[in-house]
Amino acid sequence: MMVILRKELREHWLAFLVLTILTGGLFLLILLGYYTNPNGPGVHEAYRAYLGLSSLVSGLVLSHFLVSKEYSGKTQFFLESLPVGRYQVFAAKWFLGLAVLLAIQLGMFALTSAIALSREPIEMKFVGIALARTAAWLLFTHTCFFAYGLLGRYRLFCVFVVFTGLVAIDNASQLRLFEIGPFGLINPNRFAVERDALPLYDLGITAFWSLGALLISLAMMATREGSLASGLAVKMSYREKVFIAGVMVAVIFSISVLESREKPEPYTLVDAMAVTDDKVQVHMAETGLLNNSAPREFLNWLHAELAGVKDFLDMERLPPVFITVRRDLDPDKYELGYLKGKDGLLARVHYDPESWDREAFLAWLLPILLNKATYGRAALERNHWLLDGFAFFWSQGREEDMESTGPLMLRALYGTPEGITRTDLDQWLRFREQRGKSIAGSVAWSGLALLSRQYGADVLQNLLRRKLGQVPPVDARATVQEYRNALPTVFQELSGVGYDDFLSLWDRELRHHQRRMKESLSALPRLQGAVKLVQLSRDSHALEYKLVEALDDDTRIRFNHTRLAYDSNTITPDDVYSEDMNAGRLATWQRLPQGFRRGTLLAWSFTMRSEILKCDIGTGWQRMEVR
Amino acid sequence: MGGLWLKEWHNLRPFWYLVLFLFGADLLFVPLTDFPDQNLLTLQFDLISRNDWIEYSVIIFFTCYALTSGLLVREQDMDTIRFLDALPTSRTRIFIVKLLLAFVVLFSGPLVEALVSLGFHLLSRDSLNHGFHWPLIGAALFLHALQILVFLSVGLVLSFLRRFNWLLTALLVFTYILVHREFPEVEVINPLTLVRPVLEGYTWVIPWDAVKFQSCLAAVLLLSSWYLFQGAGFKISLALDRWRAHWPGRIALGCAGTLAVFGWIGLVGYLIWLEDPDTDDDAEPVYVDWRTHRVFADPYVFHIPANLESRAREMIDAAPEIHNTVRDFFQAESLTEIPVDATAPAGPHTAGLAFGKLIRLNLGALVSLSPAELKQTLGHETTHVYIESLSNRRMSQSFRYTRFLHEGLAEYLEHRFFGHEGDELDGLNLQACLVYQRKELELEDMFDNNRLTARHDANLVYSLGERFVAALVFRYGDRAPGNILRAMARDDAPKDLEGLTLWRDTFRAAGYNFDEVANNFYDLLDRDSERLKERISSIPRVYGSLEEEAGVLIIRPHLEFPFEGEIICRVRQHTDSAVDEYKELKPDEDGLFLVSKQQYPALQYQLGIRDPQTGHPIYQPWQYTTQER
Repeated sequence: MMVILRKELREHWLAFLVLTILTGGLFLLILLGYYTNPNGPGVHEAYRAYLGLSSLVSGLVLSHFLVSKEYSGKTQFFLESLPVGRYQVFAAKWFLGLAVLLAIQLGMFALTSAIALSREPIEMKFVGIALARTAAWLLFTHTCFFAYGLLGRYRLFCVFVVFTGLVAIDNASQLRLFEIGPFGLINPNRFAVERDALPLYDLGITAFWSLGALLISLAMMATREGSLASGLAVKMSYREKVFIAGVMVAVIFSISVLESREKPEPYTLVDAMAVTDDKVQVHMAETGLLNNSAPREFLNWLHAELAGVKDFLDMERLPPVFITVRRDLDPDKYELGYLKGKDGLLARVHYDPESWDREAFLAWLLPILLNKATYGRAALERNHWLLDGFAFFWSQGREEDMESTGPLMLRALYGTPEGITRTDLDQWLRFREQRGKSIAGSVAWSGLALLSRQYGADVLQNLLRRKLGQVPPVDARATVQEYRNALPTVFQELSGVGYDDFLSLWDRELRHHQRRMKESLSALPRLQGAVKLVQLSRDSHALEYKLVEALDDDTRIRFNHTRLAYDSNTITPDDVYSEDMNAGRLATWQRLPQGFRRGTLLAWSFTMRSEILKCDIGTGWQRMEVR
Repeated sequence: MGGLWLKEWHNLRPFWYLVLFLFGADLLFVPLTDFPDQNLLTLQFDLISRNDWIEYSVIIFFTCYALTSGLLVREQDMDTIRFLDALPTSRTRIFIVKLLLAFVVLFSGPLVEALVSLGFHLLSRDSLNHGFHWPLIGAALFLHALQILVFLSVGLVLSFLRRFNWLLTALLVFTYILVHREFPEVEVINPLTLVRPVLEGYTWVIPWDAVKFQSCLAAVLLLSSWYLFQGAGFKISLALDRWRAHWPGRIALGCAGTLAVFGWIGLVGYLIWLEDPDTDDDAEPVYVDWRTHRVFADPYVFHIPANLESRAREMIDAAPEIHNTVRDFFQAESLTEIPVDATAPAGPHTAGLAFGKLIRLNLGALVSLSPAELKQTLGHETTHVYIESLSNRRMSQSFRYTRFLHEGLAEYLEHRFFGHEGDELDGLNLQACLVYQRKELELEDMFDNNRLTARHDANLVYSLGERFVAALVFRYGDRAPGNILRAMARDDAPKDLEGLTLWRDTFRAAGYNFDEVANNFYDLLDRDSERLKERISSIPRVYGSLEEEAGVLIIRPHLEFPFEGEIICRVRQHTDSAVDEYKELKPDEDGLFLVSKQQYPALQYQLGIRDPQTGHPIYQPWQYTTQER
């Protein structure tokens, strides 16, 4: 065995020396970096950073020179012809590698600790704990890299498989794999911080993993008298490289696909009152209102309404609804909460039993809920008007029809001064942005009300079931289904009338009712506003705004504006800023107290409250780019 | 010639399949896992995505390096160059064919990505996003083509170094990172930033300086690799072998190699040394010439320079009481031996830091702070120590989502138990009220430090965090913070939660209602706003305009209404720039803030005013800029 040791030393002394110089240089650099900017728990933190990097480099170099090179050059056959056993060769190489690694790294550790003991408030106990962590980590990396060297041309692939497997297990389970065992030993939150306890649990796991890696090495060395390791040491061809890379990428994609298919767990709200059954669940967080019967009544009502919607649309179930009360919102503003990896829909509302408009809340909730239940398919632009119309139809307008003079009908007529066209429906998102959600929803409601009256409630129900109530498979089949069952096709199939014929009828009806309610409509103002960019510099602009046509001075007007991201398609209410003032002030240009750089995508609108329509009316959103 | 094309194409075909697979995978996976008609170009086309462009560049880089590592030198290593030499062609032709085909293979990646994205967009576009954004796609493809050319040229030259190729590349990258910290203008040589999407609306701002420089660089490197492929590399190798054959040559080569290594280490060391350790102009210099004394004040062990011990005496005497106050508040078991290191600086604008159980008091703070302020600092940092202990270090492991409460708790205890009254407290509350009243901040921003830092002054965690903890204590009492930290440490805590979801879950596990506390938080802010309404209305919003003149970027502040106080401005390069890389600018005599464009090829600036009463900076949100590049 000593012969082998001498041979290895003679052969690789230069490599060991260069490795020592390189790692020493790295250590000095990291140390220098630490002392230049000493925002850390101590010099041992610098050593931890060094250890993580250098142990990998050292492991790679040592395994290359002691193992891979021997096998790829086939020189192990010469060693086997010597009067020493294969295991003696293995042991000589293994211990030599470990000795070199420990000599380098523990030397640096000793230097680190000497510096720390002279300058930092540490005790020998802390040094002992850090030493145990370091030694165990080095043993682990050494055994792993030794096995790695024996895996020949598949070593990178094996590392990939093990690492991907660990990541997959870590993601799929609640195990914190990268915080325990060997990774826990050099965890930045512990290595230079833990002063009291020896990490016995992590040391045990590390020892277990090290033993496993050692057994793999021994198995590789022994299988078919070492010819397996020798065979694996041959270089990969281009084709093999690409094939392996392809497999690796496919594995990553497959794991991500599997993860995306995971069924989310239900969300829970603490101290929530709930009304639930198998298909519909509504929860509302306790907010000091438990003694009041109103929230319970509201929840019962909401549950009944949602159960009704589910039955009406013939759906299997609806996502659970969770409501939390937030007093920082206006009563008529609702906010959607984000539930990562959880099933359900979280709504934040300013619930006050005295002023709560439950129908308005339901009209807001329904499209979002149906959209979530159908993975966003209900909100496809070509069907979107059905979704908006249904929300108003169900929450406020089941009893009304187009002959009524209620706010829904007035809104619909206000929103369609030019009647309704196929383009309006096909470009519903733009139409909705121009008219506002309430107005556009009411226009859509008028279409559903006409449909029900003209062709029967069954036709309407079946149409809504087909377009809003079906939960599609989350893949390309849904797209194919959508094209096969496009709205005009389904409409024709169910009603026996062409979609365009229905639109003509709808348009005529709207125009007829506009004549009927001409006086009411003419009393409603139509806002017209203007903005202009004032150049502050070549790249920066200020924005000024005013009303084009005068209104009563005391009328409250809001100027709304928001910045749009290039990849953001819709304007969300929580991103909108407003300036609220009397109309009189808006007769002259007003300036926003902020600058806009060139290229900023902006949207703006003027709105005012209409008590007749019971909603906001305005100019509609205008999009612009600062140039 | 046709045979040569075919032979090379045959060799590179596996790589082409790989590139198609990597970049065209969406064509396979989107139909399997998503709806193809709900993938708009602006969301799907990863080359223009602010989050994904870097991944694609890295994929291209590795694929390019794997390809070039054998493209030219393999012919020489396998001796197949002799067969090629025997054909009626020249090495120049072989070089051109290899280069062109390698480019085609690699560029097919971005091209396929663009085509796939366009295909999905065709199915998905709606009335709000109807166009195909051809200029964006064109700019992306142009820049990616140039990037591939640069990668190819670098890879081909370095491939002649054989197995040292990767090592040298790693060293170059490492050196670049260090140089970049000190000299940001070197970004012009970085092929990765060439394709960083800098958009003005739907227009990609082409970095023409980088394009020109890197085109020239690619041309030079390609010429070099062509020259080496002609056989120059072999000649160099022979010359080196001749040197190695004799001991003086071996010594000379050894010395040259060692010099190169140490020269590089020296260069890197110099670059690290260049980084200014402390830019705090106000800090007084402190010389640690004196011996360090250890002072025991159960459970603290203070390590203090002997010359400063008397300054710290009042804090040391009060230390046990400070500790017990914090411990009792959390109803925790006493920690033993909390080391307090006051022998070193702790960074600019920092009075103290806590790492696990270790407290580091800034040596400069020991000199400049009053005894009362030192006690507050000790109380603040002790709170951090207990937070870490009670949460079993989970708070620091999820620091991005916990910093708000970490600092909020420390600030709350500092104010409640260790003094801070009147103006000091009002100053802190004023910051919180201003962002609240101006609706500049969402709750989500507070619980995600990355989001907060991207848009706002990261120090808002102190003022807003303190108010949030005050609301928590108001709603659920003094036990609540400790219980929440214990809930954070529970074994069955879900591990991948982020932001508000993490806190909802933790509050729920502790038996508290997060939204109820949020409501109380807003109530508190309303009350504070009412109390401070005069001061709030006296502080104008300040916004800026950017001009460029002779390589100097000029930030001109504009005020909502006239204000006599001090206007402040600081700049950074990117959203993720480290806080110690922020630069505070001083106004010139016209009140303008000037910064060199060369030093800031990318610029974000933040204007603010200094609170006349407390001197606290009150910043507006960060302003992003795009410049002619």
